[in-house]
Amino acid sequence: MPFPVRKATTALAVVAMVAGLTAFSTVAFGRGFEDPPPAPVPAAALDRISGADLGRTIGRLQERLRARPDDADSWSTLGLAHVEQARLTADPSHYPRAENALRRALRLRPAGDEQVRTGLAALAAARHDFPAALREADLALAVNPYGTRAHAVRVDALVELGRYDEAWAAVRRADSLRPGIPIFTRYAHVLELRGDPGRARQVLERAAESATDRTDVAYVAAQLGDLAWSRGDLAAAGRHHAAALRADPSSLAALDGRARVRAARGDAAGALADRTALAGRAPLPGYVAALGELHEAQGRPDRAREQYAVMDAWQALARTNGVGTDLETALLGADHGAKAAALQAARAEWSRRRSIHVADALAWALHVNGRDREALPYARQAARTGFRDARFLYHRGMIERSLGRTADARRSLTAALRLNPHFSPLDAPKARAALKELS
Amino acid sequence: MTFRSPRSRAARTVPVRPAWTVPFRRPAPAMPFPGAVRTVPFRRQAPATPLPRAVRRPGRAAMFRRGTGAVPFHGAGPATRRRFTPRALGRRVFRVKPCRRAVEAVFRRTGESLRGIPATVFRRAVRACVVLAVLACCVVGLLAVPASAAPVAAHPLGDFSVNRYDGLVVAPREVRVDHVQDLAEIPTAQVRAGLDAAGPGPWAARRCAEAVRAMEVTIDGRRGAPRVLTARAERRPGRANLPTLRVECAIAVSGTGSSIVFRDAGLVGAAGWREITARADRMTLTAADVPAASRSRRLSGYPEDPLSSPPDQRQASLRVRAGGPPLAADPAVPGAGTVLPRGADGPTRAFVDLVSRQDLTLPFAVLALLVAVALGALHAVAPGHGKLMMVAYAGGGDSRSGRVRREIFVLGTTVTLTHTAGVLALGLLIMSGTLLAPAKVYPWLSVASGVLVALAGTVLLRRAVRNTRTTGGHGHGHGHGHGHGHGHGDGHGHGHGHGHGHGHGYGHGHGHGHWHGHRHAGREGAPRRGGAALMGFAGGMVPNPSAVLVLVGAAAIGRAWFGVVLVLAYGVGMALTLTLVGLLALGSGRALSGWLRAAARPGHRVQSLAARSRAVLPLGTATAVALVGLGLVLRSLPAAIA
Repeated sequence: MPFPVRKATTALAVVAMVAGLTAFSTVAFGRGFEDPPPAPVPAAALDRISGADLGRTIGRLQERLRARPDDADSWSTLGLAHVEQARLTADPSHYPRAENALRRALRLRPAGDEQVRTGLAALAAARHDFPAALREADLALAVNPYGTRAHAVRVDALVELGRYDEAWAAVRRADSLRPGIPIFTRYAHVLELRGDPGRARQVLERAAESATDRTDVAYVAAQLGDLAWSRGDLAAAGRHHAAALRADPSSLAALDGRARVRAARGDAAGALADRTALAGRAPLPGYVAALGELHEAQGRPDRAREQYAVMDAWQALARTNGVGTDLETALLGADHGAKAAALQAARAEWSRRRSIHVADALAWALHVNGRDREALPYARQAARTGFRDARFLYHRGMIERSLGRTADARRSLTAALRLNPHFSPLDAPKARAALKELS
Repeated sequence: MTFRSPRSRAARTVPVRPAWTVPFRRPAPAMPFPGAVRTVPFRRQAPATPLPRAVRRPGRAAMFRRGTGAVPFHGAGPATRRRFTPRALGRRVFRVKPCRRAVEAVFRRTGESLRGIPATVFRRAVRACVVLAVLACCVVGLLAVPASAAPVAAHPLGDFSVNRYDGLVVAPREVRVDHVQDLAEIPTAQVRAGLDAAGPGPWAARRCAEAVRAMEVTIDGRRGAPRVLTARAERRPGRANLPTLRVECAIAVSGTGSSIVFRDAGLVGAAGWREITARADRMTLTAADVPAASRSRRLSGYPEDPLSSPPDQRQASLRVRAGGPPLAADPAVPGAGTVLPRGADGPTRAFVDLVSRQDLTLPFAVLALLVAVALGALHAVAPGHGKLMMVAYAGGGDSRSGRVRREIFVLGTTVTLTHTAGVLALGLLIMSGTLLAPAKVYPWLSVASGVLVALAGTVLLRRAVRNTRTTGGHGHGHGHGHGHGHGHGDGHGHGHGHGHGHGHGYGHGHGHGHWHGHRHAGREGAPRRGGAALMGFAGGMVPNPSAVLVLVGAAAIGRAWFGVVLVLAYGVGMALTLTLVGLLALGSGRALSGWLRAAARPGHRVQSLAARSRAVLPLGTATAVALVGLGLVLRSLPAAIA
């Protein structure tokens, strides 16, 4: 019969073709899939990864996941690494990547595990969704009570939510369970907020002794520098920030600190160079506004306006993204333009969380909108934990002055200038002028 | 970046099957195999049924039949008759029995409600509609695919990224740097005041000068002095009504050497995509630690892949030697239209991206092949790829489907082979640099293609005219399969008529047609198959620039062989579409003719009209093909001469 024969021939030809193609591809593209996939990166190793290694770690994880896309552990580690990278580089584009990776991990393991939960907690905290961060951190700690990262995120969330007593309890518990640099820096931060800068310094110094990794060294040194700066100790601040920059030249916090110290010391050119570099590398609202303030303080209002215009761009983008302006932008907006929007943002933030920083921002936003009577209780709230900050005191003093409480205003402003006479290139002279006027 | 010749093994895996191996797929009279035909005396084929169909359905024209002494053979055998009952027709269109039964059940019901109209009319009309609907769905579906392709996000790296690209080109006396910066919304806001004050031109010059200061080009250990040739800045709309900026600097460094180290130290620490590529112009790169093709197509689109971080290349080390092909236009640039007449479409660009991916895995290779086939199929849907020709051929061809199918297959195969060969030739010419202006070749190829199409149209026309002359005028339902001696079938001395092989008869006599088809396949079929091949040649002659782009793109990243495989798959895809169109045209044409015949049953006049229209149809389509070819020539000739 002719047709079966032909059909058989056809079928044979097709089969031969497919087989040939497969064999050909195997030979031609063989390298791609015969290599063993790279070994997984243990999450514990992430705790010790520095900024430079982080990129390499992410590359290795990606390589492995390309070969083994169903490796939930690697996905969650990748997510964590992206969050870490976002923190170090201040580049928000890492957040969607982190989320993507963590969601993949969660899909592969719907119940979630410690690592995924920790990653989600860190991501939520980085995006300022502190209730979610707290929830996820608790879930992670329920699986593994010894997770350093989960503890650190939990403390951060409690601090930002204004629950300082719980934060204090949490950080002491974490320190007893799993001491380490992440916990030490949180410990010091909580101590500082509780109005104990001396012990905060001691804890940080102990952390600095145990730090070996260069990003850790830089991080702790920058914290020490900031602490010294907030006490007005220019020499110590300069020393610590220089050390931080030596350890990690790409540290943004250290560069920011050095710019502040240089401005305070009257090194206008040096401060401007640092600020310009910082705003060029990470044009975050805070850094841009600081550059604008420096321009303004050095007598270049037009250049300052350029920088403030960038702030407007940030706000426009935030509106497009459907998120309200964050607290920092609101506070800066109160100083440089959008006063009503600043008040709105601060009120919204206060309804979500009641930290002393939000209280201070709300008080200041009310003040610039001329509502000093409402502002004063919030300014007092900002001092409820005993935390003393020159800027907080300046804000409070200005509110008190507007209300005609001369004695209180003089006391607050004097305290601010005594605490740190250079707290801001723009505001410190204003505080001085106000004080002169009052006396 | 040398061009490696395609492995012959790759070429051998193409599903090219010689036309003669295509089986006839019809219920032919018992015939062991083609070779046996010759040994069987034709008397065996004498009708087994004493009652010829002509008796059952008398045709007036039967009396006017001329030129054949083949009357005795007109009587259709039972097999033949079965083929041309409506039922048999339905079986051809709907091969699946349950489907046919369901349709028939529906019609039975409809037939009851609409009395007076024969159910067969309905049946056939709906069959024709179904075929047309399937055709329409195919076209719409194919067209919808590119429309649904996802767009590329503009700035995946956040609102404050400054993305930088350095495209190095090593030329005999200099190193050229194509430096591009893409500033997202926030960096643009940062420089906006300066930009507004200075104006885009001077500002771009300043920005490029700054970029040059951050560059370090070392040629054989000597530090070169880069200089800005041109600088350009362009505002583009971004999110939230904020502008973004694109800065392009053409930079050159004089000097030559075997080792080149490039370093871009600009904006250290800033977030952004940082990419360096390296290619050679009349030189050869022997080693490079950066790719040749840009993943972001010069910062014009950023592929989002959860498993690859944005590149952070800040330096490149190259080893070069003198001699090599001149640089073709950047395959990754969307505006490569200077070299190729038509710019690459979206899917093709995506495809080139796909090919330039760093790793080839088996699933990826298979996927790429499938995508190539799909792209080819899609491409053939676009106008100007011989679909009309295919329809004309199938619609105007005879209803002896085995032959037509075979010819359609020949056409498809020819299109694939011609297209692949054309793309390979053009790609080779471009890559070897012997072709100075590929754009010049295109119009001439179009002219040649037009001439071929016109030629094919003429061949069709000639045949149609002959058919009309010999069989036209008497549109009886049978018998004109024999009437026409086409000249080619003649020499073989059968007393019973000539040239059945290509008769247009839809009537009976198919049994014979077969016979003769087989018998004379060698001599008789050749002109027709030659016609099909001619048209396939014309259809595949103008290489699709997209396919050339795929090939050149693959070669640029050192995977020419893969490019060849893909181009082949592309051609297969084109052939698939064309063949599908041809088969659908064949199916719908047959359904239509069946319907016409059924409608014509009550009266001879209508029947004759129907038959006349059938006789005229090939004429019309042949004329259309010829005109299309002529149009192609006229359209391309000015460009070719200019």
